[in-house]
Amino acid sequence: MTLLAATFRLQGRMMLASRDYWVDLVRAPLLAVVFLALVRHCGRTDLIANGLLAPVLMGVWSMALLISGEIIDADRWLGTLEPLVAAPASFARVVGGRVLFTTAVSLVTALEVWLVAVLGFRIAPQVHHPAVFALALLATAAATAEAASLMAALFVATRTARTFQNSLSYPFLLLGGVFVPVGSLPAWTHPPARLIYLSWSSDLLRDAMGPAAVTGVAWRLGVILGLGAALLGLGQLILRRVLRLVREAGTLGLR
Amino acid sequence: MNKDSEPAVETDLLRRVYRERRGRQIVALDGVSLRIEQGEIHGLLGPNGAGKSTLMKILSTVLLPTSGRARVLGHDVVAGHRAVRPLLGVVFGGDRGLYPRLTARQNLRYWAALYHLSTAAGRARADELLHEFGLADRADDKVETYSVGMRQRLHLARGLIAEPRVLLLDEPTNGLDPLAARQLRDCVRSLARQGRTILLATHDLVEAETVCDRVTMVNHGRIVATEAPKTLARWISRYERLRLEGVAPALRERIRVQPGVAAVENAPDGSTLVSLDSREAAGSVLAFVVDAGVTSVRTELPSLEEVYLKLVHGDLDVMRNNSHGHGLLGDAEADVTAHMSGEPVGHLSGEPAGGRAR
Repeated sequence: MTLLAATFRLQGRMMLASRDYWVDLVRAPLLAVVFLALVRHCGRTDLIANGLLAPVLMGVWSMALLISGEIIDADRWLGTLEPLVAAPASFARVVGGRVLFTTAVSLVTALEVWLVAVLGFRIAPQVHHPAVFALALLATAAATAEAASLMAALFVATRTARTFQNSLSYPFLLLGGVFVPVGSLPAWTHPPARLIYLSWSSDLLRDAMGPAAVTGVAWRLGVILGLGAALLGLGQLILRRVLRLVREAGTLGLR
Repeated sequence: MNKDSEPAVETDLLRRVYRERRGRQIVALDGVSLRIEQGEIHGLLGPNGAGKSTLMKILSTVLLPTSGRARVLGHDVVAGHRAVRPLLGVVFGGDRGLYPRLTARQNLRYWAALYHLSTAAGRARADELLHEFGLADRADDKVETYSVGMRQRLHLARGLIAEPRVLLLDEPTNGLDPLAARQLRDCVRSLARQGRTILLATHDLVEAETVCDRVTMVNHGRIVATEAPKTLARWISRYERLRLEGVAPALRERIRVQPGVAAVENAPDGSTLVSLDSREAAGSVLAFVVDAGVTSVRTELPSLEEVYLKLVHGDLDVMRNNSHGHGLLGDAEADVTAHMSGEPVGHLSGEPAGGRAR
């Protein structure tokens, strides 16, 4: 618990000290303006939920993944990566704690987007199933933190993971049904899309906002958490292997 | 085996090879066998690229050896790295290794948590170290506002956060001004008095000599010698040379044929470098150049690299034998220290017979 609290405090202080970490919190309301303006311009009030959810999910995903890489990159640059690995604490837990804190902060995007809707567009977003919505958002945040831990492992392995991170984001968001529900995408995209936890998250969040009864909440939440856990497991496995490889190659502290 | 009788650090034919992308191999450590007893301050002396940092990294578990074994207090650094890590304090060299936008107190508390100290214990230990290292007044200032010396003290404090039994210091005085370096060396000595084992990597003989109980000289990944610092200083003083200014070409030729003169060279700065073939020759050569009217004379010692070259080219046994006898300096270690720092000869104490002039 002390270690988790220490990683939270460190990440909080690092984020307060560096404006770079806040880019996604600035971008999310701007994206909300764009999406809601499009919805209003087209007269499609039925898509308001999409316009509200997309910037939130993009913000959560982007912030967690961006910062997970940044954590490794910054520690490598500051020369703290080697002492960190040499410390008795589990490297995976330290990185995981920092990523988890970042992901929790990224949920602020939901509040920002809500404010944009209310103040900018005079829309009062309705969440007909708030408990389901809250649970789905938390499950999504947890799974995103787990995905980000996997990304952090890649950053330990290679200093060029940034390209990989940037190029992967939009395909994942698209297949995750963040912009358009997976059901509206071509049929051949459905099998790979269903392997991405975001597709379950975005569907459940949209359903939670609508008036219709939400079915299969428990198992849908289970799938989100399960896919997240699978990413976490994969991330831990890769991180262990990568740490061994960089200790063998002598590239851990190289900038 | 009783854990108290285990060596603090033991390596056995340790080898580390780096492979470059083009397939070229760089041997950073080549069969290093070393034994450091508990409570010892052991210097690892060598020029840049000698393999000191590689050894430090292997011992600190962040780098794996290619072959051979290394143990810290009986635990293998590869198979038992989880047992090794809590026993070690690691201070890698240079300006890096801290979070500059955090305060010293925040840095130390974070590292305390990484060494599994409870929140209360971490807070108390951080306060104690900040006080001990003279950082208490600036404890809540961001590290980025610190001087190099303060950062280096904070590095050391970080390395000590969990009261390690073995402390690895990789060039801790690098970049420090002489006063700050001296303060840091005092710290190191006081840590050893607390019973800690310290492995200190340095390329500075004075540092090794003034701080360490024993020194291992490494070069090109191999151990050249492990001796008491006194002995090493005596060996090195054997290669003393004279730097003369204002020497006319004709006089240069006359110096060249004096007994005991091994070589005479023109230095790029216009001075004349006279290499001697023995310490005993210094007196007579000095007397000759002073009589010839040379008024600016300095004695100086060769660089460590030059000494290593001489050592590895077969003079080691000769020097070992000589070191038990009486050289010109005898036991005047302070004198050797002054030589290494490039003091003008006129400022030296304990000058040998034969006199020195300026």
